[in-house]
Amino acid sequence: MQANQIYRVESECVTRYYVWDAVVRVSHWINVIAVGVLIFTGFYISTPFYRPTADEPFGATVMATMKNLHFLFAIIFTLNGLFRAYWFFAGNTYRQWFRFHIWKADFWKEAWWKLKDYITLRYTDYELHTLGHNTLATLTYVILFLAASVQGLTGFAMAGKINPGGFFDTLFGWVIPLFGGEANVRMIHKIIMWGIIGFMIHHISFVIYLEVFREKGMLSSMITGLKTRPFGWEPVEKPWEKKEK
Amino acid sequence: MQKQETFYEAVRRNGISRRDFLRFCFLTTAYLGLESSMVSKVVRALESKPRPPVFWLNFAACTCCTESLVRSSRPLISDVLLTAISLDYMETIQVAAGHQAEEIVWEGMKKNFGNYILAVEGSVPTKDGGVYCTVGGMTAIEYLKKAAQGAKAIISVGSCSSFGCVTTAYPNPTGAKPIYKIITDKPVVNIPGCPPIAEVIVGTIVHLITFDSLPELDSLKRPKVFYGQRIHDKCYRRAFFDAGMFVEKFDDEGARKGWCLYKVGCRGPVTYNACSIVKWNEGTSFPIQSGHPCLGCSEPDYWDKTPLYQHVADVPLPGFATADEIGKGFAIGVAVATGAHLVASIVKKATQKAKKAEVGEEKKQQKEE
Ligand code: HEM
Ligand code: SF4
Ligand code: SF4
Repeated sequence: MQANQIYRVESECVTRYYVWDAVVRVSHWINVIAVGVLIFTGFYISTPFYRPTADEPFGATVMATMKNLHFLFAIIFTLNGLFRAYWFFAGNTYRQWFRFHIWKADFWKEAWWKLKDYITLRYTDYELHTLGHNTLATLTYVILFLAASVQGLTGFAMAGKINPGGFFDTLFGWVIPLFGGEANVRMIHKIIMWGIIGFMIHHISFVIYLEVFREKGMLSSMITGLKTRPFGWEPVEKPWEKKEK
Repeated sequence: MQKQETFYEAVRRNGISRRDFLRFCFLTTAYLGLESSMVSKVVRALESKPRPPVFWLNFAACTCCTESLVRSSRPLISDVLLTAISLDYMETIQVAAGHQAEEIVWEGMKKNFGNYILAVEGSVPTKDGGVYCTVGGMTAIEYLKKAAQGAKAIISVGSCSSFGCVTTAYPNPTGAKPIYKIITDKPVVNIPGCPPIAEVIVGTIVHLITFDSLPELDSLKRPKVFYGQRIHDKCYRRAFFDAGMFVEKFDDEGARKGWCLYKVGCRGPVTYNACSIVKWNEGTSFPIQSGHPCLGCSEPDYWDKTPLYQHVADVPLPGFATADEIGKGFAIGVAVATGAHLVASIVKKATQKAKKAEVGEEKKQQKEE
């Protein structure tokens, strides 16, 4: 742990570390709003459940509004994501992109160890040396990032065809033949949305759980930037090599 | 060798007036999306260039493309193609049969080596050496490869020969393949559709004659002028789509009023074709106009995108799952796993606490003793 990056507030029996800087927190909540709107409007585009009471098509623009909103928030989501990708490298050490060493055995050992930890409800007292994301979480977020990228590519490819040869079509038009026609592009866009929903279900309930039952300050860390550890906490390197009682 | 007839000479010989010829030129120029100043270029080309022979091959297909072409009621289109473009070989309509017919093809191809246009209808079965489709004693693969040698360009007419249609649908027992997967060393144009619109077929051929080149193609080898836009983006029911007014089921109030067919499975939003612009049968109507959703017949593998009356297809794993089911399954799976994990953790923590308390109690009791 680099001391200059640690921000400690000692109170009661815990130590707090300043982990998420303001950029990370703001971009996180922008994501929450954007993905929320994208899922809602996406659902409407897919299954238009509400019908305006009008008898004539003029005046009512429900679907058009939903599509425009979807596109607007898609652009917000994408720009936010791109900036966040940059911050992956430029932000503080807790971004820890450099720990994404899939070619090293330790990476997989740590991920496996953490997974077993979760599944068997073991919750050993060994704490990983990480305050940011552990290896398993890093892996999850990288997969999420890839999924979001494919979502963006497929989305912009579909949107681009409104104006063939235009800006978005020139940039993303190649995606459509890649997947063998727009019908498949649409299907993939929808499947990935379900994947993202699955992630969200897990993500939200888990941070609440960690906040309330494990007192790790996971949820509040996205608001205050502070993560909590027990007082006198000692980080452990390679906990999977420790013998368990 | 006798000088080859021009396109114009041929139509005149067949009793078509100059006025009708010019009308054809105007129409086709417009369909090709060219400026009006190009009309004279089209006229001059058709007047002066020798008409290129077209050989039309039928492989694994239902002949609906031929039907579309032959039955096109715009008089000029069929006349022009059948008499003027020198359709030298087309099994469905030619007089010759048997050995005689086969002789005509190979003779004609030899004579016009390097100059003729090959129009192919239908896919080519490749399994078991290609025995599932034979013409004149040759398998379709051999036939196609031989015929393609001297072709200037190959036009894949219809979805079967462009992308695969009913003949290549899952489980595809004959291993049928579209043309561009078999002929890779010649320019191939795809004109998908089941069937494609006659004007689109003719337009592409005229472009070939006039400019001696293929029209601009998109990444799926389709002429951009006809396949550059979605049905949806030129659909006259689009206002109802944008408003959110949908036909819920056939024969309901909305269907009678001509609302958008999205919810009864319209594939217009993912289908690239000219139906909503050129329309069918002398521009009379097209499926959506007569109240039926677009089936996406000009898109790759559209028979496998089932069920057809659903705007996003199921995942192509018949009898297994749909995109929505897979997605929901995943989301529900995560929810259940997360929930179980939560409950288990809470229970574990509670029992641990209880145990600790018990141990404490015991210790207290021991002390008291
Ligand atoms: C990041 C950039 C994104 C872009 C550019 C984008 C773009 C689009 C476009 C243009 C459509 C309309 C397709 C059509 O009607 O032809 C669409 C549909 C849809 N989008 Fe997105 N989208 C993006 C992200 C997302 C995300 C993050 C979600 C949800 C997690 C999502 C969920 C959906 C859904 C469910 C549909 C309806 C698909 C259908 O049933 O046809 N999109 N998107
Ligand atoms: S009927 Fe089909 S093509 Fe026309 S607006 Fe509705 S969804 Fe689009
Ligand atoms: S409307 Fe759709 S299904 Fe019908 S002919 Fe045109 S492309 Fe094919």
